[in-house]
Amino acid sequence: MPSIMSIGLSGLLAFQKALDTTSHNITNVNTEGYSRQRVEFGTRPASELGNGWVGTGVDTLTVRRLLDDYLIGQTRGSGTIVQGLDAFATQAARLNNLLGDSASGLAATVQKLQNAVEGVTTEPTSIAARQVLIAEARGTVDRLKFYDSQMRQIDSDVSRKMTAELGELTTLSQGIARLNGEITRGFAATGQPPNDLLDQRDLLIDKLAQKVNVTTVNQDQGVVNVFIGNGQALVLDTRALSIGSQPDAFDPTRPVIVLQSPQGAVDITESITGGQIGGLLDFRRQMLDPARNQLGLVTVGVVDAINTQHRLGMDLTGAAGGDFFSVGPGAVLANGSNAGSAGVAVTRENLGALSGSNYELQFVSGSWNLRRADTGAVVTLSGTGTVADPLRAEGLAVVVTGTPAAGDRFELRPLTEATAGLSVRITDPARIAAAAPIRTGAALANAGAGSISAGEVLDPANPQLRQSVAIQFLTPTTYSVNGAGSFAYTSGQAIDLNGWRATISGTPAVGDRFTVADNSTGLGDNRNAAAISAALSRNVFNGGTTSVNGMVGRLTSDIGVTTRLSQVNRDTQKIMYDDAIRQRANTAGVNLDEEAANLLRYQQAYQAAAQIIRIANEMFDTLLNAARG
Amino acid sequence: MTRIATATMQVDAIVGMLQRQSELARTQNELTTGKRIRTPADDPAAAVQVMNLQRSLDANRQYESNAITAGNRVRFEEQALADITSSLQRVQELALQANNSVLDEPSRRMIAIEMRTRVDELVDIANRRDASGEYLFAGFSSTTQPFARTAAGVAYYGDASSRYVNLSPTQKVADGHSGLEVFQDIAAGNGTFQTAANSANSGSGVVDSGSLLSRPAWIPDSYTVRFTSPTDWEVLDGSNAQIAAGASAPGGVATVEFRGVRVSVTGTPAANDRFTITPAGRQDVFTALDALVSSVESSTTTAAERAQFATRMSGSIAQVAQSIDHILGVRAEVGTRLNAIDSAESAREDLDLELQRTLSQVSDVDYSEAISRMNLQLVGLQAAQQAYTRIARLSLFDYL
Repeated sequence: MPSIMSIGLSGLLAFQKALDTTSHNITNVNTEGYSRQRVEFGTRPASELGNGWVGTGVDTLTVRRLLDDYLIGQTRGSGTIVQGLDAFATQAARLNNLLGDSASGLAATVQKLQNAVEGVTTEPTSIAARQVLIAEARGTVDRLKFYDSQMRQIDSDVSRKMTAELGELTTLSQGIARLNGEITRGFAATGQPPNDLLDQRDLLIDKLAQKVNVTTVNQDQGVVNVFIGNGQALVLDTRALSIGSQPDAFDPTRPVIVLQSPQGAVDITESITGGQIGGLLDFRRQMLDPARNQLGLVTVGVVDAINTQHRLGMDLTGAAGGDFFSVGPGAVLANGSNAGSAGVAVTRENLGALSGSNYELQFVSGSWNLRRADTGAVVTLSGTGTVADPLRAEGLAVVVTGTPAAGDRFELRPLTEATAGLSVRITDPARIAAAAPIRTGAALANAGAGSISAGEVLDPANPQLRQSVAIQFLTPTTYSVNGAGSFAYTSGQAIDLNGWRATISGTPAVGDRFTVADNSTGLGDNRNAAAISAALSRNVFNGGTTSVNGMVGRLTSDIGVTTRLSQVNRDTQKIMYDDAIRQRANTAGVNLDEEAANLLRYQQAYQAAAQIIRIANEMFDTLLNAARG
Repeated sequence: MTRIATATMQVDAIVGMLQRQSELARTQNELTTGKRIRTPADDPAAAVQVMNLQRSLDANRQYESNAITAGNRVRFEEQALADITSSLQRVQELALQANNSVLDEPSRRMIAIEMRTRVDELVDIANRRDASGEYLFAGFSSTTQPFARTAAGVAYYGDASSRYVNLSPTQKVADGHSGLEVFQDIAAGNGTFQTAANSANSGSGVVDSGSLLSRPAWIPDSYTVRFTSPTDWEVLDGSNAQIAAGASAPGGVATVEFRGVRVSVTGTPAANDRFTITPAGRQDVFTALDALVSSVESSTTTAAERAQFATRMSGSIAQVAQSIDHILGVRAEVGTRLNAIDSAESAREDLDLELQRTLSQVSDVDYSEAISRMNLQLVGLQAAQQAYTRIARLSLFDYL
């Protein structure tokens, strides 16, 4: 008799727990990271009554959460990947949108500049045309600087975002360590899994995995250890290691990721992959840095084409052209831990050989080693590093002053500061050098069929450049210069003198005279402006295969292709991630209809168990009444 | 059977709707802007193509403006050359009028006065400027007045250069001629040699401008035809060696032929009268005209003076004709330049059309395709919304 009462009671208790658990499930239907729980029932040990085993009711064995490590690992891994790709794609889209508008874009700006040069070529004496050129040159500078500042903005945003994410990493790892402790205590107290705490910890690890690639190892007592990078411990049992950022040894504006391990601070930046932090690092390495260098190449290309030719020209005041633009120098960043006193300066010597990469220069066992930052390849250096004989490689010249210590390192950034230092030097329209400083002529009385080329300036600094020179033919094959000497004449061969070059061709007669003279009255001369326009179209980059416009095209298509690729990768990975999430939810997520059915089921069972109590009570009453007689 | 979590159903429905909305927004953007490509990532290859096409179009606009400016300048030059030609033709008429020994000196002076006016007018034209104030005939020195009268005649202060303007990336055209080319680089005499009478001649012999019989036989040198008597002549070369001699009938024409040239002397030269034959150099228009005017003004009292007059007038008239021919040659070249500018213009228009067409193909939206896509996306979005509202409403709890 007491057994029926206790059996009924066991049912009431079990079903009450089941109803509790179902209600818990229903109320947590929208809780992030929650896994549905189920009460597992088991029969109580039966009692032996000599002629058989009679059951003694139901027991709740445990409350189980319906989630396994396989599902967790799957969502966590693809979460790391998708978050990395998403962070990359988000930043890539910013860079991409920057170059979006083709009407106000870089190519259009450079073309406007070239058009303005053409305008001066057509009307070299027009002050208005010259003013347009100065305005367009400023427009080009503004546009290049706009891109440069926006890229710097993106760079500093990336740094800031990384620092913020790193701060969250510490919070998350501390949370995981705390939960490790609570979970251990929960296990110890009951021998049963503290499901909700496990959910909370899994959620924190999920969030951690979205920031950076982590690996986990399960220990006894429900403890999970978390490792980051190349297996550096982030959470060990109840201890979380501090992770943070510190300024880069070369470039203090950029943070590096540092783990404060018992052995001291370890820079783990290079080993970080995946997650938002990994994505940001990848974006900077694979897209932003190359884009900034390509923009620098465009700047240097425009400046070099115009300056080089402008220096050879003559302005409206009759003076030599000089530089049209100022441009930023190559930047050198010394490592903060350098022990020597060496200073390093880098200059761009040969545009055609520039790679568009940054470099690391290191002083190892008495000599300098150069390594490309993008590929890591070692670059052979020539020269000794003095001003007279600089270290040379890939279009760069490096001059070292002072004394380096072994192991001293410098980062060379030949292009990143070029645009920031860009400005238009010419402010007076009259100072635009549209003319050439010399002109050539043939005497009217010449009887032969010889002609002289327009002449070009080789060395604008030659003091004799603009002195009048008369070339007179002594015989059809020899000529004198200013009445002196006798030089052999070959048709079409260049004559280099006083810093200019002219070519006489054809068959001059004896006594024929050709002159090279000062062109200071030649204000209507447009030869230098025409040469500037031609220089802007010339192929200067990559060993003379790519023009400035080609470089703009490459910058645009590189950014476009990388952005598109990152979006496609992200979208593909997102589908896999969503699928993993769905699979996990299919197992662990709450279905309200199911819970409603369970509610009914356990309610009915509870009511039935209550009926058992009633029956037991009635049986007891029957027995009492029978005994009373 | 797959079990599905309630939250998944909700999230899936909402994500589906968001996805369709973003696709729809993209299509809407394409339709409102008319452009298929907004950023390089939309189609990197096409974006670079659009960039280059746009750049070519921009460059073409500049070449168009170059052609207009150059064309205007060349037309200014053409007008100046036309004015020069008519001025020179008037001088030629006056010279023919004056070349008449019947005319008395005062009448010739009147003609000379008009000639001087015409010469001044020519100097003015030679100093003409274009619309932007640059001298047309000064070469590169286009802000320096190219011609000015000095004691020694009209001097040229410009240079021999011409400016080239780009009409396309590959074609350029000179936008003018220097004063040297137009006014100075003119062959003297008959182009090979020129004849003159010695000013000390006392006879009435008149030399013509001569003709070239054989170019290979001609050796450039300063030759003198000297009459030893009114009918006997000899030819001396630059070093005074006799190289030919002959005689003419009294009162007839002395036809002097040597080294591939022939000159005729009419009238009656006196003994020791000399005529020179020198290689033709270059003579500028103004020197020729000044010589003409001074010939017209010269005295013709004596027979010798009349002979000098006749020789000089025939030489000057020939020189004016030579100048007119030369200017006509320059005008012909100006004409070809204008043609080049015009044909470059039409080539550029064709190229522009082609570029625009390609640009439109690459970057413009295919409206019919975009509109049908939008309709499809709208149907999709509506379906997603309806499905969500009906499925989300269902719950077993409603029946408890």
